[in-house]
Amino acid sequence: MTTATQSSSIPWLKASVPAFVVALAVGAGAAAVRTDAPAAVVFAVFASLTFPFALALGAVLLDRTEHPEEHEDSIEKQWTTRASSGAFFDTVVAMGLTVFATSVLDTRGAPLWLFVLLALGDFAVRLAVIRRREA
Amino acid sequence: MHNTLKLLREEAGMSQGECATALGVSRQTVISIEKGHFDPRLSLAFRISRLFEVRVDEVFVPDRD
Repeated sequence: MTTATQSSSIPWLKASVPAFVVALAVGAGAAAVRTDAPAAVVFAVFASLTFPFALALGAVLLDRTEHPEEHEDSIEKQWTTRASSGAFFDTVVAMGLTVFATSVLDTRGAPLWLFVLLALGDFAVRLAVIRRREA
Repeated sequence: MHNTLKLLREEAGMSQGECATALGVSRQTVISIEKGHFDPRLSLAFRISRLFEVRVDEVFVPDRD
């Protein structure tokens, strides 16, 4: 148990130093460019907000845990593939219809985050429906 | 494609969880194969046949068109 806990925490430890460096670099970059607040404040905010994301990304990239399941052989993998391909199709259609509508009506298009939200929600709903239907 | 996984598993006195552990897949995968919702790849099909010591075509039988 202790060994498993130790081995699972290794990617986080390995990622902490590069994540710290990235956070400092982003903070310094933001402080050098942005003029809407004192440089020290900008540096602190950007560095502290960047660190957890950089740490998580680093841990994911450095994780070499061997999973017992061969993902291609799992129904979960198939569900994810089907849900994501359906969500992708829906998102492309929604973006196409939005572009068409905004060009006809000469209005501003919907912001990108709305489509990201739509894609994530669509994927989650599709995955839940497929799991419920086939579980 | 239908399969005899449930029959073979029950004959072997294995639960779905035990079968999943022996095959290195999730219990949900075993359930889905038994229900005919999921046709596994050849690698898993051969692992199943090895586990129950039968031929692959005794586990997975193509539907007649």
